[in-house]
Amino acid sequence: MRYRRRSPLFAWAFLAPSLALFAIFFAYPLVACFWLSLHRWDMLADPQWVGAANYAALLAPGSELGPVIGRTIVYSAGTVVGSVALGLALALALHRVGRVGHVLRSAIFASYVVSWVGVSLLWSYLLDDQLGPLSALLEAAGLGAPDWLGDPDWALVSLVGVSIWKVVGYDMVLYLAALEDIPREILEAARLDGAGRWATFRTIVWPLLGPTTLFLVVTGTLMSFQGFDVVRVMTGGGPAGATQIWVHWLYEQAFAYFRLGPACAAVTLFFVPLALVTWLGRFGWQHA
Amino acid sequence: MNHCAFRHNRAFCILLLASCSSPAARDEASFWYSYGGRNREVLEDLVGRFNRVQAREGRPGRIRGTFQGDYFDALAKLRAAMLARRAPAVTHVIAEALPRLAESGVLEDLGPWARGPEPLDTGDIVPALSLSGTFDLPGDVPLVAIPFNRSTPILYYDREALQRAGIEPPRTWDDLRQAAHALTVRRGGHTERWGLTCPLSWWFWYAALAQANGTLLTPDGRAAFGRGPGVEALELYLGMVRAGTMRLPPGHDYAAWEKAHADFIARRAAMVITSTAFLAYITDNARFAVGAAPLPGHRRRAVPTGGTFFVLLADAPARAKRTAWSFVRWMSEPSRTAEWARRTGYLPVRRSAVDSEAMQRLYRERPAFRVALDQLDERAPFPWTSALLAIEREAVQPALERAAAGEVSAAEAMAEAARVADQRILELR
Amino acid sequence: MRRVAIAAAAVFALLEVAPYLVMLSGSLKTLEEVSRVPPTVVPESAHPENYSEVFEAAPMARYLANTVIVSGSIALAQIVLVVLAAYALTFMRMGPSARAVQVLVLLCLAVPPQVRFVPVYLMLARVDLVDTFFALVAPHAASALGILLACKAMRALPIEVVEAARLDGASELAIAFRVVAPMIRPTLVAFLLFSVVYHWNDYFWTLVMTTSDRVRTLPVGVALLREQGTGVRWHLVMAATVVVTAPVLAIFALTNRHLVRAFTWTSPR
Repeated sequence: MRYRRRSPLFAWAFLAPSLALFAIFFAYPLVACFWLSLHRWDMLADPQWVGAANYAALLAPGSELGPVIGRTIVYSAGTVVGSVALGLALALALHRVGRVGHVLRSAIFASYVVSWVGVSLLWSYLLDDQLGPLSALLEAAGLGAPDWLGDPDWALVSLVGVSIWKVVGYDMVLYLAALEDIPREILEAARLDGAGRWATFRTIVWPLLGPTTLFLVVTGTLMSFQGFDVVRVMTGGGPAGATQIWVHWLYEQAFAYFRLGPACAAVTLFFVPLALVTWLGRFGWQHA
Repeated sequence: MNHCAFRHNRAFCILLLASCSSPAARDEASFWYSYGGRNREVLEDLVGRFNRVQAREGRPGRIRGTFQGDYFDALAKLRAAMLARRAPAVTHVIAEALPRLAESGVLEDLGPWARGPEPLDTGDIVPALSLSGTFDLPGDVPLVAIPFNRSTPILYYDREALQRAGIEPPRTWDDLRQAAHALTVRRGGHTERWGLTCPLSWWFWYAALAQANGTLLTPDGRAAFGRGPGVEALELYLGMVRAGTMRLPPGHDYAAWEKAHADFIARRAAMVITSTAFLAYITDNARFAVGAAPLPGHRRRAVPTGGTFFVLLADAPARAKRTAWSFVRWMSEPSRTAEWARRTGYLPVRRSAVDSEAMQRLYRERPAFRVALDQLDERAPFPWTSALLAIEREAVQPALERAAAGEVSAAEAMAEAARVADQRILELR
Repeated sequence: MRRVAIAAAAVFALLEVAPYLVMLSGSLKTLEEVSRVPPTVVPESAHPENYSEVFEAAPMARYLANTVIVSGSIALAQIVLVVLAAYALTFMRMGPSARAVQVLVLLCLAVPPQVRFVPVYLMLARVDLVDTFFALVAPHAASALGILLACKAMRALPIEVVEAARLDGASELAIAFRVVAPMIRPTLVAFLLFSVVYHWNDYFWTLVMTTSDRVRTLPVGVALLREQGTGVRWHLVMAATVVVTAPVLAIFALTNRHLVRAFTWTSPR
């Protein structure tokens, strides 16, 4: 009995369901994707072997993928930097603030758990150029309002704004937790040494928040590189492709234009950087 | 909202519960549709009525409608679902999607059905709206589609605004430019009323292309719109935008249509070029007299037809197809297509419906409903090419949007569009 | 200085909350009022019938039920599989392969749905499983994140607990679910909450994998309500948005700290 129980077979039996699902829904898709990326297929005719042609087209100068990646980086960087900076500011303001602080924290965090679809629909209304309350508000204040979602120069900025609005609570909460962990004595000691607020922040607090910042940058980057809902619901990638970011582009290639080959080639090209970022995140996590 | 929709939903739920075991489930045909707002309500009402008629006549088949978003979303779902054997028995698709679908053999040949026990007099279909009237059709294409909600673009105008400016509805491009100029009202740096608004999309560009005597493809099947008329067509609109007399509605795809309609209804624009499909919606919501006129011509007068056709999926089970065919036939009955036209603004697809007393009276009372019909004489058919939809969605539409955003000139945009089009044509050959 | 900072944070909190009030207010207005410029703050008269109207305009009840079924099934399946896998990796003898499995699990963490949707769709299409609950649940039933979190929590437990149970003759399954699982309950509850909320909100996967109202969930159904061409019926869209957001906000209100912890569980702390 005891011997049999020690047999690794037992462990494998416990692991089997998870491993099988991982094999079917994680490993196989990657292989299948690579295989498809070597074909031309529109789900109607039979797949046609084209070798590396899809990769060549995607990497050729003037390929449409370039601008898509560029916009994704802009969206991602804007969202990550914005939410990290704002989240840190809010955390510093609300750190060790009692009851009121708790209420404010909850209010700010709430949007993080609400669905992207809900947030996007809500903001589509708020930012509507004709009947949107935001533009009405700005105009009442004597300020002009741009056409947030209709102007190609503003659309991506608007999406970044909405995204920061949605996720900033997460950054704030993590920073608050990290601030809790800083021993009061260190700060006291700094004060006694005559360090000002800014100097204390710069030399003590900020370095101690380092792992949290790294974690937030990594997870934020990963999340924003997967951004889709907000684009699909609010702009459909328009106007003039101004908000066509990577996953939405991928979705359209695959399920609107049925260019499965290029879609899978792009996934294959991107899987490596994505995995790298994730591993970087793991690295930051372990170091904490 | 309306009682019928609710009853329909309840009926649908009951049907769904029953569908596990009952043999009637096998006669059920799913029907995917894609409309917004008012036209959707009318369609849902008709589906509900069809099902009640079936029940009254003791026939087993029912139609189960599923809303699938706009035309392009629905089309995307359809193609993905075909692979997964989840396609409906019947749906309606835009004309531009037909060549590729027909060529790949997924569409049911409706010829035998039309000649079968539940006949459909295809000779009574308005020729310009039929498959062979919509395309330059090669001889060997079977009857894969029955016209359903068909339309043409028309020019709507604010009667009072034109009267005050002392102008007639424009008949040529020059007229249009002048009218747009005359109707624009500026105060300070602010435009209070634009002369014209029109979503800058494929359909309206194609109309202008044909009016400029251009064609989409060369005789040997390559993109022909990279320069000349293709650029001219785009310039028609961009020129007025630059002159500040045309409002370019913002947004992607139908979001832009929506804005154009809203601007016209709110009198922020004195004229709008859009589909006749919105006639009922616009005239009901505008608090002023709305006029309608054919699109202005240039070297010639021309309009493409638009809207959708009913198609049956060849892979659907035979009994579902039978119900689907009954539905298509019922929807195409002269009185039904006339009702559909009256309640929406789409064109009646049967000659006998056009000639019916009810439609003739409508045309007398509300001449705007006639405009699209009269324009059919000047229709510009699409080439029957498998790359047609790809040309529309992947080549032309993005180019129009980029030019509209001022990122590239009209000439650069169309040259790029032609390059992408040629690539797609090659891929699909 | 401190007061100013708190006041600024309060203003921002107001900016976070105000849109939800606009949504609630809009969901009770008529179409005319919700489209009015400048907007009214409080509806001139409340129209709760907008909600019944939205339940008639689309099979919202069905969407709601589907969402509950899908997010509930995923969470349940995940918890069971996570406990099994983490228990095996932590307390059972597997030799050096345990390390390999852990690396594998980590790798899965690096493969987001956006990388998998095309091949998974094609695979499910081949076996006739598109547009089923299976397509929505099974691909998420195994959770790499859950396994990692549970392993971490289990490693903190004293091994003696397991050894003692074994000496008592308890089966490995019983030890995993009756002894170990209750001891890492905070982790499991946090993960459960995270999973339910995450999949309740999911749009991308459901959008790709569903074609009919039989299995569509709320986010997909609600997004479809924004029809275009003849004017968005904003009052209905707002009502539907309330329907999709309210349950999550309610869960948040009820489990405030737990949910915050659930969502920040993966943090470096």
